[in-house]
Parts: sequence; structure tokens; C-alpha cells
Amino acid sequence: MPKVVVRVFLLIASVAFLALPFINSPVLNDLTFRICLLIMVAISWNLMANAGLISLGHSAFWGVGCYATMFAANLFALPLIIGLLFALVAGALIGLIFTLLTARLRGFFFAICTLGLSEGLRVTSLMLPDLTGGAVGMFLNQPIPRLEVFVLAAVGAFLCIVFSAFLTQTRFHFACRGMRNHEGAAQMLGVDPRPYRLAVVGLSAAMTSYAGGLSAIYGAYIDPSIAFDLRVTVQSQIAPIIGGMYTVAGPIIGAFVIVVLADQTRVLFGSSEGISQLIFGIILVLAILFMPKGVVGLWERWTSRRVAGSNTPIQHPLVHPKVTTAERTP
Amino acid sequence: MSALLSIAGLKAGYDDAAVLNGVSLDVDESEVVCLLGANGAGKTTTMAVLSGLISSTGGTITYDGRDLGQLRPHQRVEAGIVLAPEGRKVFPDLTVEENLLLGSFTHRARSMRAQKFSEVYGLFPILAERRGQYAGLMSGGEQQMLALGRALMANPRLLLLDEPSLGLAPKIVLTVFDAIRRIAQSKISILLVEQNAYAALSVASRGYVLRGGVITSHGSANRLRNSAEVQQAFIGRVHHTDANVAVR
Repeated sequence: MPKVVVRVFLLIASVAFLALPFINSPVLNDLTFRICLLIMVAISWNLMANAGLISLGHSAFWGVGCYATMFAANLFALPLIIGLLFALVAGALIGLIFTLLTARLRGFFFAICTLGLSEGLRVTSLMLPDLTGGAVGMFLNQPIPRLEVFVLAAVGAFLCIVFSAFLTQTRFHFACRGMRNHEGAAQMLGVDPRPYRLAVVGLSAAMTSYAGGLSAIYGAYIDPSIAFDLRVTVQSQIAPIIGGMYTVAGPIIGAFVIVVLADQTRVLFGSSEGISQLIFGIILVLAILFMPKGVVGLWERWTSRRVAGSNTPIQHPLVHPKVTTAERTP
Repeated sequence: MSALLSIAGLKAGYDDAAVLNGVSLDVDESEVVCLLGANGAGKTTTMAVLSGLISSTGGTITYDGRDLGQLRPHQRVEAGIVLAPEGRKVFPDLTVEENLLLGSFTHRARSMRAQKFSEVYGLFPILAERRGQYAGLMSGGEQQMLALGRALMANPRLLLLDEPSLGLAPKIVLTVFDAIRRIAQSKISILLVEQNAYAALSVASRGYVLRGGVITSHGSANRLRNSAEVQQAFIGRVHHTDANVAVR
């Protein structure tokens, strides 16, 4: 497919997506809202995974976003949009502090710490009833601007997609992939992993925090087990894995698949308790078994790009255009 | 003439285990020097200290007239000290071209990118052929060429090569060492660590022998090749012909 066609298609799709809230169909709005939130969370998780940082604790960032937005709205009576900015900043700060504290940890040890972070924050918020309402939770004491929430979710998802696509053209992205493959070897080529780790986790946490803030406004109520729900952690991973890890399109496709699949299994098999979730689970297991590289991997296999020794090598934009085949021969 | 790299009394180790107990050596401008030693002698540790991956516990490293001290690994690469690590360590999920691109990550290397690309592809035409292929799918020999090429992309002034012959078929070892010889002609200084003493001494002008974390002897390649210590420890006493250059 020519690149122009793809670009035009993507442009139309994104305009349509941003316009959806204005059609104002409640079911459609709810669906797109949840897809948008999952897109942000999935892109955020994928961003960290791409740098070799496997997170088992994205619900930590989500929950921080929930509480930051709620505090801004309830305690300081600030407009909700300021609350969302609070969520962005608070998420990034938590991400940065966490990264500084776990600077020397890699692999499993880092992953376990992220899980600890989300559970630790959940218990902490439970034990501060004066601030968070404890297990009773807290209600949003402002009216919910439905349309604005939908638009902000669509815009947020759109910006995350554009940002993650833009990143693939940068040195930043290359440094991250190098770190994922072999951190020591990347260091030997002059990559200093520390600033990249900080930036990746900070950005990732801010994205998920923003999504969490939106969900808190949308639900108008949070308690520690809603804010730091492990479901966010699980979904943040499943979506990129189903769609295709380390790719731009993967988390987006995955988010669509997960939300629609969960809804449809509930509609079709919701009559008997638990069956719908069982079927949802079985589909996910089969998907991972038969497409380990996700939907994107399947697509690439069909169109078979990047075959070993291919005659049409990918000319990367970062390679200096002046290098021609003629110059390469000695 | 003062040396490009000068190590004096270098000590280093891991936690309580001392590995280097005072290593001293020099590498001159555009000179190839090899560091020979058996398993556990401290060769790779020396490389790790030079590239800044582990810090020394004593001694000094002077490079280009200044003390390297506690310079961090990426700063050393920026200064022109580039390591091609033991066991190749290419990025398997990246294509050959992307691996090379990451090689020219530093400011020092970026402006030279186009020139270095053609140099590397000229040195190893196989890499140009395979440039769209994932590095993890290549043979050991091709990966070693890629590791060398990637290090060259960083525009090194001092190239540190850690066991480039490791795990390669004798025929491939010849190819790799031929490439090292050609790299040496381009005025890049090379410090070469090897167990394959004969191959290493065939490209180096001088060599050092490392044993138990200290230098036990050093001299010109010719002298070392004929010295009893090297013969006994690394080559074996049999008489050598060019036929077994690559065989340890």
C-alpha cells in the first residue's frame, strides 16, 4: 500500500475519532472513551517496555492521576482541567522519583518494584482517611462535563499516538531499543542510560496518570481499590502484547481489540456468571499462543517485509542520504 | 613520544575479589598492542575498567595526556575510547543498519556518519548485503564483523577489542584479523585482548602477558612469539607454520 494512502486513511480516521463525541450517542461515547483511555495506557506501557523496563505497576500511575485530579477538584476547588494538569505533573514526578530510587535495578527486580509501588500506594491511600477518605472513598463535588471529558480523552489518545509515532524517528527511540537489547553494549557506544530511563518512565507515568485522572472525573468517585485497580496493570500489558509489542500501531490495535472483545463476550455470554470472562480469557490465551508478535507481527508476516537478505532493504531516514551503493564498495 | 594510553599500577576487582593487582601498559598513537592471558587472568576486567564499566581501586589511567579518573562510560566514548565487547553483544532485535546507526550515537561520531558508513561497508561488504536483516539472525562471524563495524561507527581513536576470535571458526578468525589489520592502517590505535596468542601477535607490534592480574612479560610481537613463556602457556611447544595461525 502506498504511503500516501496510509497517511490519508490515518488522517480521516483520527478526524472521525475526534469528532465522535459530538455525535453524542451514549453507548458509542462510552466505548470510545474506554478505548481512548486504554490507548494511552497501552502506549505508555509499551514506551517503557521498548526501553527494556517491564512494568507490573501501571495502576500506580493511574491511581496517582485519579487522586491528583480529585484533590485538585475537591480540596482546592480548581477547575477539572487544572486537575488533569495536576495528574500529568504528579504522575511524572512519581515516575521520576521511582526511577531514581530503582536506578540500579534491572529486569525482574525492576518489575517487582513497580508492582510493589502500586500496592504500596494503594495501602498508603487506604491508611490516610483524612486525606483520601480511606475505604469510604471520595466523591467528585463538581458537575461532570461529559462532552469535555470525551473530547479530552480523544485528544489525549491522539496526542499519545502522534507522540509515539514521532519518537520512532528520534535518537531517543534508538537509545531505548539499544538499552532493551543490551544495556552494556549501548553504554559502550556512548549511550548514557540514566537520562533515558528517567525520561521514559516520567513520560510513561504522565500519560497513564492523565488517563487515570479522566477516569476519576468520568466515574466521579474513587476509593483506593478503584484507583489502584490491578486491572489497569493487566490491561496495560495485554493490549500491546495482543497488538504487537515495541510497535506504534500495536498498542492502538490492542486497545480496540481488548475493549471490543470484552464488551462482546459480555453481551454474548453475559447470561451466566463468569462464562463471559472465561471465554474472554481463552481468546486472549489463544491469541498470544498463535500470534506471539501480535496483530502487527501477523500483518508483517503476511506482507513479509524484512525477509532475511531482502533485496529491498529498509532505508532508514537517519542514515545520511548521501551514502549510495556505489560509495559503499571499496 | 608520550603514549596515547598509559596505565600505571591499575588495581580493580569485584567486591572482595581482587582481579587486577597492578597492571601497567602503554599504547602509542596508531599502534596495535595485544594483551595476552589465559582464562581469569584479568583481560576482560582490564577492558571493563578502561571503558568505565567498573571502577578501579588503584593506579592511574592517562589518555591523551589527561587522567581518565572517574569519567563515565559514555564520556569515554565521546573522548574516542570505544570497546567492541567480548561475545559481540550486537542488538539482536535491530537490523544491521540500525546497529551501525546506534554506533554513531555520540556527537563525536555523528558528523562522520556517512563517511563511516561507507568505510564499514567497504571493510565488510557482507554487512551492506545484509543491512535490512535482524542482527540476531546472523552467524557468529557476521555478528563479530557487525560488532567491529559498530565500534568503528563511533569514530574511535583508541579501539578496545575484547576477544574478537571468541567462538569463531578458524577461517572466520582469519577474516576478522585481516579486517583488524586494515583498521590498524587507518591510524586508529588498537588494544587487543586475546587468548588466541598466535593470531593476536600476527597483527600487533607489541604485546603484554597478563597472569594473575599482573603483567609478567612484555615486548615486541616477535620477541613474545619466540619467548618460552608465551610458547608454553598459549601456543604449545610444537613448531608453527602459517597453516595453524588460527588454531589456538
